[in-house]
Amino acid sequence: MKATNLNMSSAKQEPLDDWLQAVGSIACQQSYAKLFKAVSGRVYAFLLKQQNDPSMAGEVLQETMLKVWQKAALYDASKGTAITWIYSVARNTRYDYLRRNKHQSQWFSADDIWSQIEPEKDGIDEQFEPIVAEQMSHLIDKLPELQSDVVRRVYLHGQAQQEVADEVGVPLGTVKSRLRLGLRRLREMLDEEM
Amino acid sequence: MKKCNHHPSQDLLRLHASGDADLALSIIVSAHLDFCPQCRDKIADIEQQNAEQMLLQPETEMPNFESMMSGILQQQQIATSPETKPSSAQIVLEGRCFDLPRVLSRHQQRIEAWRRIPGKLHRAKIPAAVNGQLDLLHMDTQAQLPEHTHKGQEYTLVLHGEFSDDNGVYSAGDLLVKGPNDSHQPRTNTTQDCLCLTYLDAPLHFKSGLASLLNPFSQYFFDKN
Repeated sequence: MKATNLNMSSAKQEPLDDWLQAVGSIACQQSYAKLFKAVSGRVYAFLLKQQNDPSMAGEVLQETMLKVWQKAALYDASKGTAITWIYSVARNTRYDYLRRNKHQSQWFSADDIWSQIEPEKDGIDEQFEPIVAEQMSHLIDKLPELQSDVVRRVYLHGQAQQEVADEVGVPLGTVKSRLRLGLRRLREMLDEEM
Repeated sequence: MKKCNHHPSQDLLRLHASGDADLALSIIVSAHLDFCPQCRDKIADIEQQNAEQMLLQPETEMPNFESMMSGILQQQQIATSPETKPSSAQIVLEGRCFDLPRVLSRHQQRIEAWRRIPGKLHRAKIPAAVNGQLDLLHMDTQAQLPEHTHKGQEYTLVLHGEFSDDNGVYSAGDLLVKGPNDSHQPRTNTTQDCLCLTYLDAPLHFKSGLASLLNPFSQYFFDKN
C-alpha cells in the first residue's frame, strides 16, 4: 500500500521537475502555467490546513508562486525534487509573512535560517582528488548494487541524471532517490571510518 | 569534523523544518546544523515528507487563480546566480576571534557589545528573541557559572571550545536543553574556554548560599526588555 503511494507521488513529481527546470533555464511560460495548475491548489490547501485563514493563505500563495517564477533558476535538481523546493519557498514565505504581521524584527529572515548549506568540499585540494576518488570508489563498491551503479555513473563518470534514467530504464525520480540513499550511506561509512 | 553527541529532539527538528519554531529556537537549530550532517539529513527528510504531504492535498480552488497567474507572468524574472554564499563572519572578544554560525553571519553588526558578568563570563545580546533572551555567552578558562535552575527552558549550543557540568562534557555543536527542574553548574577547565549560543525563555534562579544573592540581579543574566 505504502509503496503504491510512493510510486504515485513520484510519478506525479516527475513532470514538475522538468517544468520547473524549463522555467528556470528558458523562462518557459507554458511550463510555468502547467506547474501553476498542478501545484497552486495544493499549496493553497496546505497553507489553509496549517492555519485556517484564507486571506493569509492567498497572500502567501501569491508571493510563493511569484518567487517560483522569479527564482526558478536557483532550483538545482541534483539537490531534490521540485515539490520539495516549492515547499521550502512556501514555508519561508509563510515564516516571513507571519513575523511581518506580528511586527517582529525583520532583520532576520527565513533566508538566514534556511540558507543552503553547501556540500562541503572538505578543503580537498585538487591534487588529492584522484586519491580521494579511488578511496571513495572502494566505499561505493560496498553500497547496494542499484545505488552504487547510479552513484558511480553520476559522480565518477559525470553522466547527467536524465541520461542515467534513460540508460537504466527507470524514472528520473528513482535515480534521484537511489542517489540520495547512496550518498547518505556513503557519508555514514565515512563517519564510521573516522 | 567531530561528531556531535547532543542533538535537538525530533520534535524540535520537526518544528524547525516546518517553519513553526520560534525565531530564537530556529536560530539555535540552524547553528547546530552547521556542525551536524546527521541532523541536516533528518531535516531534509522532514522537508521531503512535508512536501509530499503538500502534494497529496486535495486541490482547492481560489477564485482568482487565473488572474494571479497572469499577473505573475508579467513580472520580470530575477537574474539569479546561485545564492552568494554568506562569507564567514567572526566576532572578536578581547583580541580573540570566533567564527559566527552561518545564520548570524550577515548580522554581525546587530550583535550588541560584550558585557562582562561575574565569574569570568562575557555576554553579547542578540536582539532577535521575542519571548526570551538570545545571547552569545563566553566562559573563559576556569570559569564557573553559579549553580542555578531555570524558570523556563534553557538552550545552550556550544560554538567553540567545551564546558562541562556534573552530567558530562559538551563541545562544539552539542546542544544542551535544560528544563525548569534541572539544576546545573556549567564550568570550563583550565585549558579550554568556551563560546556558546544560549536562549533562555525565563529568568535563571541561583541556588547556593552566596550565589542566591545574585537572584535580585538575575537581570544581569536575563534582562527582558
